[in-house]
Amino acid sequence: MNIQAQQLSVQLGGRPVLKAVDLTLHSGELLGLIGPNGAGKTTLLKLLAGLIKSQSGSLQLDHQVLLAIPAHERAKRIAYLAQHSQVSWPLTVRRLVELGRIPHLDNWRKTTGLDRDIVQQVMEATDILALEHRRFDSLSGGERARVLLARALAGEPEILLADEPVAALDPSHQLEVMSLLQAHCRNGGAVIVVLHDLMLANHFCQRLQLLYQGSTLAEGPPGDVLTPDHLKQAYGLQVSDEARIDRCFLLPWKMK
Amino acid sequence: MKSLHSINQRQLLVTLALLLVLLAISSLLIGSEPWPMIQALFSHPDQRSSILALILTEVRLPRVLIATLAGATLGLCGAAMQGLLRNPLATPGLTGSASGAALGAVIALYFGLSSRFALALPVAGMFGSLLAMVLVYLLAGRDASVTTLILAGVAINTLAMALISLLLNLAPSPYAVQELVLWMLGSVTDRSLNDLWIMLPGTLLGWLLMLGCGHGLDALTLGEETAASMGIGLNRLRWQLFIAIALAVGSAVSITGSIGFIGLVVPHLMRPLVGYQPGRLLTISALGGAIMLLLADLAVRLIPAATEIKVGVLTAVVGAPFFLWLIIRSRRSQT
Repeated sequence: MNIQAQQLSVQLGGRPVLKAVDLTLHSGELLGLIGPNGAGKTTLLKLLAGLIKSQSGSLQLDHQVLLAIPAHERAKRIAYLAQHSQVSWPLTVRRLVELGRIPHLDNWRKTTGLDRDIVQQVMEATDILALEHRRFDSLSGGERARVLLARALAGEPEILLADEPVAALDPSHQLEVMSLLQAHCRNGGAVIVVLHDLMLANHFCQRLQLLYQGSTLAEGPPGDVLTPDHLKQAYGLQVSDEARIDRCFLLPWKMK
Repeated sequence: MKSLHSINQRQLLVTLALLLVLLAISSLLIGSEPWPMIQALFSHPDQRSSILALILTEVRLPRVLIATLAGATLGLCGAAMQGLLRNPLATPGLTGSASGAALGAVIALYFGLSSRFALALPVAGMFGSLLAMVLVYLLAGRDASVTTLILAGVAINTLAMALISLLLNLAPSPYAVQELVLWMLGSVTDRSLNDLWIMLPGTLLGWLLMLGCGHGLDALTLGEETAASMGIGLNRLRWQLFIAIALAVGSAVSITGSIGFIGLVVPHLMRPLVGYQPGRLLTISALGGAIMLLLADLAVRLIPAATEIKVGVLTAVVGAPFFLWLIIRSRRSQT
């Protein structure tokens, strides 16, 4: 499985949001999308999910034009975890995770034993079995994040597109969610995750793509992307001199 | 705690279905004078056959069947509309489809279209219903807040009622006015089997289209973007539901007149029983709607009054306070 995107450009309301962005993704990869607010990360993710169209450029999944794949087929292969997921009705946790099977159901077909087995496995993996009868609106932020992730994983997608799945979580829940994404890649899937925490990005992602003002500023292994120069240019940050940009610390030190 | 969520869905379905059948049978037997029918049942076979058969097949049967169909339609449409707009206050009454249907039907009655062509009545109802719904939807926008939606609904409802008043005002004879007004109050009495046949095709087609939207409505629980990413075509879903509701509500309203609040109250009562899942709510709400309208129709027969109270009046009198309570409660939960 691979995604090939070339020269993707998007304008929203006449304003260019993405300018000729390239992106590739292969099975087993955990790709982190980073960049300051308004850099175009969410737009790129929606593009890859087939939710919006690009004005120019090409976007292919396994050498097939992404938008030419019927929506219900696409939905079986690509799951999208939105940034601010609202849940309109107070479903129980199990019911909510079961919704993730919808891409595999026909109009009149209800969930079968197989669907329920998959839901069970996913709930085990995301450690939410204890919550199964709780109503979604009664959960804490960390629990909600895991339940919504379980919903996305329940569709057994090859590719998971997660928009800031760790925003507003405490450090241990952040690590938990990131490990789940990592596990998905180890099982042969691929993940693109939008992150604001550069430390997490550095620690978990094999590759990072740094977006700035709608263009790719840098792309590659975390060590090559998270350089003082790039961070200064993208975020206007000066990284602490003592900070070692490797697998341990990355401390934003002061504004430039 | 064994919560309501763990109620077995099949048990719920069977219980409601049994309740519906029981109610339908009692409704066949009980009239404003409850005893004659039962006495007739036990009287000599030769005497009872003709009267009894006549009352049963010509009076009671159409009444019971039409009440069942119309009630189910209202419950189902309420559930579908609330699921689509993800808003527990959206109903056929509030979103214009019922008053639009009434306007369409009044136009058909007023210009005598219905006497020339039997299906003109439901067809006019369907068009009126669809037009009103689309207008409310365009006015309020997609992710409308409760307030915007109600305002848009009020605007379109007012317009429809104003046009109905205009037609009443211009009606040639007081008899015609009285006929239209009585029809609009909403009732299932004095309907014939012929009315049932007129109502049936649109009703069944509408139900079928709505019941096919279960997964789409479930997915919408997670928001429009997520639903789209799950392979749900949102535009198609919207139009399928609008057309389905127009078909079913148009058919029902053109035969029974306006019967309000069942579409609001029933889905609301049933929702906790299905664990708040909009897809599962559809069938359950349809059964609940049929039960509710049969109950209301039984009540108007048994309430002692000089003139029989119209069933639409009863549901409004009981339903409006319920609606107020809903608004107060939703306001509390927001603060």
